[in-house]
Amino acid sequence: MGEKIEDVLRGIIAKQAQLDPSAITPESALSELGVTSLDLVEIIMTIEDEYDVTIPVDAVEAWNSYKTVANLVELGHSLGLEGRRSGA
Amino acid sequence: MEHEPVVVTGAGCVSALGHSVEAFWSALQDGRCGLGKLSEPSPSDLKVSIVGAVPAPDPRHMLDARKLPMLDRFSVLAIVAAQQALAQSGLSFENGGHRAGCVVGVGTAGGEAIDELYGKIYLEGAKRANAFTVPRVMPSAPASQISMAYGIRGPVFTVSSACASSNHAIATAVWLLRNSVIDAAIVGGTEAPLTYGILKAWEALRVMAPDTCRPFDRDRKGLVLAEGAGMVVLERADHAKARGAEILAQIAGVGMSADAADLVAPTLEGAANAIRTCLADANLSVDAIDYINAHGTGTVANDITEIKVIKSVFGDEAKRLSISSTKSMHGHALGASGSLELIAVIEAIRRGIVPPTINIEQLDRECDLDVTPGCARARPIRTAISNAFAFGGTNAVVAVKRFDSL
Repeated sequence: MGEKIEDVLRGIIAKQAQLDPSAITPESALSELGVTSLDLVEIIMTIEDEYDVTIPVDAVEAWNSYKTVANLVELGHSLGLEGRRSGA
Repeated sequence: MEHEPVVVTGAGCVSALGHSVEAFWSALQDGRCGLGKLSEPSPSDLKVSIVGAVPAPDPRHMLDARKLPMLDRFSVLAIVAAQQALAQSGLSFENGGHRAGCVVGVGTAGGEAIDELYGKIYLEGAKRANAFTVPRVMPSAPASQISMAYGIRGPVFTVSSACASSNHAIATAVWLLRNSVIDAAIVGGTEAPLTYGILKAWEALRVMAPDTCRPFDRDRKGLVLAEGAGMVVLERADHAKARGAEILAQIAGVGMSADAADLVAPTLEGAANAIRTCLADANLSVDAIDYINAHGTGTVANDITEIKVIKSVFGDEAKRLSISSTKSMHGHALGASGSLELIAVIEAIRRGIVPPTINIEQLDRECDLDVTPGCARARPIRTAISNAFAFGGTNAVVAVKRFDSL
């Protein structure tokens, strides 16, 4: 069983926003975590690297579409990423 | 044409001479050299051995750590200088910031991020760049970052003319203020050229001194590259007076010209025209000027031409002038030079002290004007000019007047 997408995302967001992962909940608004539009692009590109997938969104579209951590978890589910990355 | 005077109400800088205007001026007044051995980037095969690096602590530590990934070093230095200038001016933009601007002079942009990107994609075969690369590298980044930090919503942009960038930025802002497009602006220049790639490129020009920067010396060997940023708050005088701000000096005039000749060899006519245009703009005759902060890079091409230019513009008055090159202490910070030198001029006028040209052992016989060798000199200064004559033949000169002489 691989890692839950939610946990992987929490780690990626925490690293990008320089926060402790425990400070991040599904309800957290990305802007309230200090994530900027380009941080979000980096987060999406890191997801692409981690799962070897392509997520075809541009910076503005992403910023308008993904407002919360839960939105990104949903994105992960829609791409079928749940459980695809094995835990370290 | 009559216009509202443009005045300076705040100044800030970070340079090889330290992290504040106080540190900067104290070194200039004492004739202390901020140039030293290159340590970062590691010299490896670099021939450059002496640079003007900002001393420890790294100015990055003065900013919110979470903002740093989106800031290249030239933006870091610009924001640190802008913070100081704004704090001194007491200005804030809570009424929307639409009547405020930010104009920043930049010579080369984003050197750190470019080195990082090329290292990653060319050497390490990385598949992608960092998303922050473009916003870090864009020449307008420092101006944008300052506008975002302080809510400046009027004209915000970068001006670039190599080593004259700061003076062109100041000139541009002065025109915006005179024409009442805006009431106040953060204006200056920033440069962070001490990266491996940029140093390598400069080596190829064969203009870098192996020992130190000794403008007007018979044995000068070239310029010393430096990093730094200088920012001032410029305001329309009526705006500054209405809010009771302390006025540090007046920007009396600006003059711009181009050589339209050689990329690196300056012409006498081009530089002279910039000074004459500046004096005409300021409505000043040559006998009103007491001090010239020279471009004074320490290259043979510049120094000898600049002295000839001063003689040709000032005639008999040239002998009466105090002249100095403060680059002998803070180095040549390219696009930031004019802003650092503007601050040197403002402080010189306020304190009645001419900063020296240091490192002169044997004065060049062709530089036979008073270049203030060695030690600062007490002298009341009514009005001064600051010269910038850049590669590419772009020249810009700024005249600064003591405020009580309005």
